[in-house]
Amino acid sequence: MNAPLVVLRLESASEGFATVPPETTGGPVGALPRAPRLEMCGVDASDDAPRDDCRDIIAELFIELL
Amino acid sequence: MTQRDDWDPRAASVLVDQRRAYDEMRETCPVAYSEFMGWSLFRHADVMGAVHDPATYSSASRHLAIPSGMDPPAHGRFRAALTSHFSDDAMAALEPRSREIAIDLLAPMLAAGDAELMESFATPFTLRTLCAFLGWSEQQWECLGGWTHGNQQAAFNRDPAAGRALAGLLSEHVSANLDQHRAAGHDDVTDALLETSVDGDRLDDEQIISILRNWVAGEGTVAGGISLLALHLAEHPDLQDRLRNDPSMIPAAVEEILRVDDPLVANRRTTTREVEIGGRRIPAGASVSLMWIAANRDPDAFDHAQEVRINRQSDDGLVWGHGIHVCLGAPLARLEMRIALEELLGRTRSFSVSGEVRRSVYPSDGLASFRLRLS
Repeated sequence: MNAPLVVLRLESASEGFATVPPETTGGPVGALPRAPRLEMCGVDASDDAPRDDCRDIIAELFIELL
Repeated sequence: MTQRDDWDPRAASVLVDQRRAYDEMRETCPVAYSEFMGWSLFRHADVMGAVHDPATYSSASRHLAIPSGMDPPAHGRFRAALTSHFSDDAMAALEPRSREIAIDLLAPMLAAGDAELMESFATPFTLRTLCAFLGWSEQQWECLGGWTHGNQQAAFNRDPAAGRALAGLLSEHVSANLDQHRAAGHDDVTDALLETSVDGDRLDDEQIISILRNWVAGEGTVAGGISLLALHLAEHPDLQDRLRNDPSMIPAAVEEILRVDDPLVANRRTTTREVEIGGRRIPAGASVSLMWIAANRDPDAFDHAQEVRINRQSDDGLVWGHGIHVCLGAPLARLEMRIALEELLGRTRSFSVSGEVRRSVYPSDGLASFRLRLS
C-alpha cells in the first residue's frame, strides 16, 4: 500500500502569504496565480529568525541551477 | 538602494522590461554592484571567463546542493553519478509518456480555441513529465508547482520564514516519495537515486532531496522557456509555417529563440580571490551574479544579437550555461520543449497572441500568463 504523501494546500493568491508588489509587475496585486497558505500546513509564517540565519535561508531560496 | 549600489535589480524600471534593462546595463555599466545581487557581470566575455574559472568563481554553498552548489573535485564525482539519468536512451524511454501528457493537455485548449498557456499547458506539462520521469504519481504536479511558486515569491520578498517552511515542505514531500519507493521497488529514476553511490557511499535522503530540489526548480525554468517559445512563434507566423513544414528545425529554433529571450535571469558564484573586471575591483568572498539574459544578447558575441536566426552556427550560447556546471538536465528540458512545439505546431494551422502578455518578475522565469488563440 502506498504511503500517504504530504499535500501542500493551495489557495488563491489573494489569500496567499506573499504577493509581488504591483509596481514591479505593472499589474494588479496578487498577479501570481497560486501561493501556498503556510498556516494551513501547520506552519507559523510569522516566525522570525536571527539575521545570520535569515541570510542562510535567503541564499537557499535562490536555487542556483547553472 | 544603498550609496554603494550601481543599480537596483528590483526597481520597477528594471522589472517592467528586464531584457531592455539588462541590455542597457551591459552597455553602460557592465560590471555593476547591488546589495541584492552582489557584483553582476553583464557581458558575454566576462560571464564566459567566470564559468570557465571555477577555482576563482566558486559555486560552493554551505547548503547542500548537489551538484550545482559544489566545486571540483567533489562536483565531478557527484555529477558523474547523475548523468546517466539524462542519457539518450533514458530520454527516448520517457518521450512516449511525455508526448501523451502534452496531447492530453492540448486537447481541451484546441477544443476551446483559446487558452492561457502557463496554467493550461506549460506548468502542468513540465511537472507531470518530471513526475513520470521520477516514477511519481502525476497528480503531485500541483504540489510541486505550489512549492516552486511559493519559493520564488519568498526569494523575491526575502521572506526567510516562508522560505524555511517551504524548504521543509519539499523535504517532507520528497521523503514520502522515497519511503514509498523503498517499500515497493519500481525500477525507475527514484529507485536508481536510492541505489546511487558516490565514493562508495550511498546517497542519503538529504542528498537526494537536494538533487530533486534542483530538478523541480529547473522545471519552472523549462515551463518559462516553453512560454517564451510559444510567444515568439505566436508573434511570427512565418516561422510557425517554416517549422510545421520542417519539424527537424525545431531543436535549432529552441536554442536560438531562447538565446534571444532566455528564461533564466542569473546564477551566482563567490570569488575565492580579489579580481579586476572592466576596471572594477571585486574582493575575495564577494557574490557575483552571472547575468545570462544580458550575456546571451551581447553584440560583441553574436552578430545581430537580438535577432532570431535559426540557422545561426554558434557554440557560445548560454541558455544552458557553459563549463562544468552546464545544465545537467538539459536533455530533459530539450525533450520537453521539442515535444511541446511539435505537438502545438502539429495540431494547429496557426496560433496567435490573444489578450495581454504578462512577463514574470525576477527570480521567476518566462511569462506569468499568456493567452493563445488556436485554430
